[in-house]
Amino acid sequence: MSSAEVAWADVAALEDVWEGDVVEVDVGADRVLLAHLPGGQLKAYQAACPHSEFPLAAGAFDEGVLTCAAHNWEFDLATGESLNPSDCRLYSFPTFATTERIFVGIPRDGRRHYNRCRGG
Amino acid sequence: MPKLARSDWYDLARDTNWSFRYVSEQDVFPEELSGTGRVPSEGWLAWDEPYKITYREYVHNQVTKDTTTYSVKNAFARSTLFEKLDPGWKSVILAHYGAITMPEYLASIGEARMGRFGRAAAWRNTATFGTLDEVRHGQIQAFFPYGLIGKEPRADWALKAFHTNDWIVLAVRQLFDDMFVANDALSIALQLTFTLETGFTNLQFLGMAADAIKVGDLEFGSLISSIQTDEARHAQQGEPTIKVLADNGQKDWGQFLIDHMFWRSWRVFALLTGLSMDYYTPLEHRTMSFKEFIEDWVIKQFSDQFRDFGLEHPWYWDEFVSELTWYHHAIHLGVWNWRPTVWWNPDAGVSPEERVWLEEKYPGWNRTFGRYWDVIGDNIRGGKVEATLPETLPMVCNLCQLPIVRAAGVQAGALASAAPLRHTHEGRNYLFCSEPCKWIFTQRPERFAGHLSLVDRFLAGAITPPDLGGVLAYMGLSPAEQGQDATGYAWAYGGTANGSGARAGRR
Repeated sequence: MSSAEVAWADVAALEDVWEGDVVEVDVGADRVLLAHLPGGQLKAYQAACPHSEFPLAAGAFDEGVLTCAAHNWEFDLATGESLNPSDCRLYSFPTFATTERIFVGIPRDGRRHYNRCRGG
Repeated sequence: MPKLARSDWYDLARDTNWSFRYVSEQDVFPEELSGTGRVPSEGWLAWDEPYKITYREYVHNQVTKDTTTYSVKNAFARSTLFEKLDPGWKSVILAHYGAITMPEYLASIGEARMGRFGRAAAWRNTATFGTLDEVRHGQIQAFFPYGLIGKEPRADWALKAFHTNDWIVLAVRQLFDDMFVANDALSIALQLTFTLETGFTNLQFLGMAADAIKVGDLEFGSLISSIQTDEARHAQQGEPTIKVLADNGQKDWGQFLIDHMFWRSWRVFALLTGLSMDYYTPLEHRTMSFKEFIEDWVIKQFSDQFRDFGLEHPWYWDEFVSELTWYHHAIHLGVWNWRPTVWWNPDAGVSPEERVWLEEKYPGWNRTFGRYWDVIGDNIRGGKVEATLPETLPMVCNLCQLPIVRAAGVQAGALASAAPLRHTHEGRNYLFCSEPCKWIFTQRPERFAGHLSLVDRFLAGAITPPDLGGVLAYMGLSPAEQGQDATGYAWAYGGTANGSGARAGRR
């Protein structure tokens, strides 16, 4: 996405999201999950599980896979794709970090950004 | 040895099925036990559980959970952790163990019924794991309180409660008989795993585990967390079942089953969780009120889930939402007043600070309920404790078996009449607390008509002598087991919510 299509928001200090951590932040109408993957890569996704909208940050994050606490759904946070079940995907926001701060790009379309997946 | 990825073999192995040659499908899946006959057999082939697990993975996960949870228990076995817990929190866990342990074990019957009579192979496979889950939940929740018996003898109500006729047990047993012990596989999927577990208990267990850790009850927190992670998985049998019903033109039947059990789940949830969250949990550890929990997790999240399948809010939705402001407060007054009839120590939870919190969370609470507690407090301070104890039995509802508290609804401005609702079936008169309870009964009276409430039993001469002492004996409550005020009435003398004054020192 180009800068014209997204508004970049300064959402967190880099030192507040340690490698191996996930943190939820509010950006306007969106709740965003920041994930600092093993190896250092930063990712930003919708913060609520697409299944039942439970906060993903309350789940377990282990070796790049986040397991939602509500129903055990598993997501690969390198891609946002679900692993179990296999047919769901987290909405992904563009993100980058400076030496100190993390920025997330929110599309300028005036709506909340998330995917939803039925459990059946 | 090379292994195939789960996705390469799972569906094939899971869907192994039989073609019947010498028995009819009706004989294999009798409608009374299966409940799936509204949808032809080929329609059930589409049943697909969202979260998939193999037996190898299941065993690995369960061993890991048991090892962790039992290790925590062992680590605290000789500690003074339990003695230091807030008295209200002790009531939370005693009430939980008595009301929930055996139903979890009984739920294995419900899961096993789906494991045998579920119409899809995938469903039967998932339910088999659910059966193992519920056996585990029954066993672990009997074993943990067993370790507390030396410190709190009533911890044995985890095993004992369901073998008594305590009024709480009558209500819970009648509900769970309806929900899963005496129910068909399809209805169990919609009413137990979807309505109760997905809608209410799974997320409540998450919150309860977090609350336990905050109050310092690491043992109970570990236990509940271990159970919740199982429920998180097996609760997901409802959604594919609803999808099959909806895709085969049977959405209305699904709607009926959910409408039936959503109300019943709400009733028992208000009794057990409403009191725990708004009165028993120490004030400084309350993260949200019961009403806020229901609004955030049941009204918003859960109703989004069933509306995803084209289902609507139950017809009584407005009445349900209205009850959030008053029903469990009225039930709390009743439980506290009839405290000798329960196996835990009801925590009044109405110290000055707690009343400020209640008024903030439930504007008008002081006007509607506080004035009763004012009188009770005056009696306590005046040395008239006897005036705060029961002398008679309340009227109870012939469906939910809970006291009829409509008078409180009138005072809260939610109901026009305090009179119980009535219905006559085959010459017998039945009383109900609410329109939905009456509706549930009248839709299928044959399911409920034979049951005798506590009051029915009293009037039929089953309880002797016919006085409160006879009632307590009938309920299995010896004097030492009968509930007392959790804080020794500290709240009436301005006792704080926790950690100071009389409260911290009382059982």
